[in-house]
Amino acid sequence: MLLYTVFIPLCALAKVRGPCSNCHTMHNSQDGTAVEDRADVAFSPSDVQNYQVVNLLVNTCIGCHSSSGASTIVDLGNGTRIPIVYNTTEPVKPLAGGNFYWVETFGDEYGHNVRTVDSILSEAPGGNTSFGTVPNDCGFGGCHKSLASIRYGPGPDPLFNPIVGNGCIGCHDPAHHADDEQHLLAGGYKYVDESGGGYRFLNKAGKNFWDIPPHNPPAVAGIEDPDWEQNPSSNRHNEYQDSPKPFAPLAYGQSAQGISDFCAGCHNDYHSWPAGGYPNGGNGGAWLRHPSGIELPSNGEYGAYTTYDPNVPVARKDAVTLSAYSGPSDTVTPGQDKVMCLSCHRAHGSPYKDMLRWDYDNIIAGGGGSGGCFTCHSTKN
Amino acid sequence: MRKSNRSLLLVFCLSIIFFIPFTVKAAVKGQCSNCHTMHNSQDASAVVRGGSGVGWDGTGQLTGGSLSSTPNSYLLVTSCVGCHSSTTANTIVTIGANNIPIVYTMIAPTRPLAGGNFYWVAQGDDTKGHNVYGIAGADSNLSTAPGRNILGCANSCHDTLADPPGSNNYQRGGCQGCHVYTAHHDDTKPWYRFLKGHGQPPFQNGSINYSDYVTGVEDSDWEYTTDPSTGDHNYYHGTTAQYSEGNGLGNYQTITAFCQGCHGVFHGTPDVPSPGDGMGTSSPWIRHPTDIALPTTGEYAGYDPTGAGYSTEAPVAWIDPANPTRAEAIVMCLSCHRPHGSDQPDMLRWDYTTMIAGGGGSGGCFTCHTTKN
Repeated sequence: MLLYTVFIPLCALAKVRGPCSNCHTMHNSQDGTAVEDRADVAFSPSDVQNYQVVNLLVNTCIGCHSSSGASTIVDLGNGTRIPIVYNTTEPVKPLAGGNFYWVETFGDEYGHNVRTVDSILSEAPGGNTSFGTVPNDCGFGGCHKSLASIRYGPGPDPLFNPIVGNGCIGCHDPAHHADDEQHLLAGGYKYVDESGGGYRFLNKAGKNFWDIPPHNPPAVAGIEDPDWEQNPSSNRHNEYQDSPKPFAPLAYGQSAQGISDFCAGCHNDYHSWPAGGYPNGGNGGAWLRHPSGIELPSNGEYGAYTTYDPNVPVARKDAVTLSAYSGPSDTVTPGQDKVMCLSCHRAHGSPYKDMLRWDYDNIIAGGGGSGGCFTCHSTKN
Repeated sequence: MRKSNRSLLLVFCLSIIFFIPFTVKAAVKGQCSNCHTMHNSQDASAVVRGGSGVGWDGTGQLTGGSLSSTPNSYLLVTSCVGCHSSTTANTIVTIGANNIPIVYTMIAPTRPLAGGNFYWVAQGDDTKGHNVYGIAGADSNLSTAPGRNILGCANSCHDTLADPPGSNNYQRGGCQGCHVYTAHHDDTKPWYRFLKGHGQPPFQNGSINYSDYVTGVEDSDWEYTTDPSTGDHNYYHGTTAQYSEGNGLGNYQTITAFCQGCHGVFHGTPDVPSPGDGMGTSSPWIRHPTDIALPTTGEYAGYDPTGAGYSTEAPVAWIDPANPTRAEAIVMCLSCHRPHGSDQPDMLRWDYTTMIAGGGGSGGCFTCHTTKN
């Protein structure tokens, strides 16, 4: 008698949960017609410039993560909860990364141009050749210049780019089925690094084009809020980290890429070296640009920022430190925690120009206000 | 009401009656973007303006010079000169809550501020102002500050303000040759008009906290408007102490001691450090004295600078600027000169050629020398 051993695979815990048909279609055919996505999506595959749907998905990234309603989390039941980053109705509670609603409604200054090309900027601000790398000129006219240029498949027009995927994958390397719960924390929080697909999938999208340095640094690490900061507070928020490396191309070989390192992949001139110096100044001399990836000083006006404000977030000093957290902390420690790009900007988009987290026109020196810039610059109000 | 409370109330009322000046908060106000740019990038264009001719136009826009992709220290949109210049004749530029004092107008100023205006020296007359980098080239008549003593300093700092920032002036040229440390956002710094020295040793650790700074009471609109009858003017600090070039500023913190930093021979104890240096003594003076008491007798009794009698043309300093009294009025360098520039040679506050002894005129020198007209 032959004995058959049935190997029952252990199901890996994965980001996404729920029926496969929420996101996939095997043949794009059902009852004699093409498969339709859920009713509230704002975009069908054909609405996205340079589209192509892959991986048996029912829609593009933008399609799935968009909604015609105002809710920023769509719950399909059975564990399927979809973060919405693009509402075509003004979102009631934008998520941590912001929302593309405003770049589509107010104009190019209000968000990254993922769906259509920026009419003002021809390349990423600050993405010049100063470092000796050429983020704005990889020879293909796209990649680091415009997220709207990224497209599926080859083909010369309108913007040739060998990276496969639409605009979202210029920053995100999707890994929806990776085991991101290896470091599960209380309250549904989880520390995620490269082994789990990277914090918010901020991973080396460039490896799809060229899997060698500098295109394959380690993924960003961080602690993810289970609701994507839909309802943030001082002790309910993401936790970011900014590594101590001087700039992005040196990220590989280290354990994790800092969140500001990641932004510097396109905006490298705006990135600070921990020791200061070119191109942002610092290191005993005057800053030339607003520093990022550096410690919030412990002296002077900065010492007053000690309670975490999710609207003016700080990063923790490195991934090793952050990985030991048991969850989000409501404490800011000047002299240790770091100013990062996201301290001032929303990555997707915001209701404020330059994708800021607050209205810069209302930041009046000596005007007695609070919040925004004055959270750190506490005596300049 | 308790007796002590009545006393306090009386003092308060008297202080209002006698217009004791209060220190005015001078920290800048207004939108950060008036002066700063975070990344020197907006709509794919640089924001920083550099080069000559940068200034505010009549609409509150920074104009002139050229856009520069090189960011400035402290994230500033332009240099000191650029921000404090105007293409108009206005000497206060108001942008929202921000009032910017203008010390260099590219048209003859309508109302120069207390320190004067660089307009005339910028027009090419080196006798009418300090030659400051970014405004005027090196003085064609002078190779060093008049009356300069070299006191262990062989670099250019004390020779000229026209050199660009470099290794020879601790990366401070031009405006920062006098306004060495600025504190636009910090009213806790006690430096009058940012007039502070470099500390000892120069620009070493702790130099910013050294005592070598001028004190005084700042007029809220830089003497754009003045009214001695209400006490509306600057109040400068002076002393009657004798000092020579060295640590006069650190010890006495007067406006005159600050000037001595470059013009040392014109001040202080006779024959120090060299024979012929200094002011001399009252018998006789060999140079016009400064940081001396304005006598209360003789011809000087005709000038009472307290209250409405104060002359903004021939101002005095005070031993205690917050409590000015006739007996403590002090002659200072600024009694006769405008530190930035004026429409008169030697940066004087009046036309010296009209000072005719016995000519029956008034004002100018005759404000103090009341019987020599």
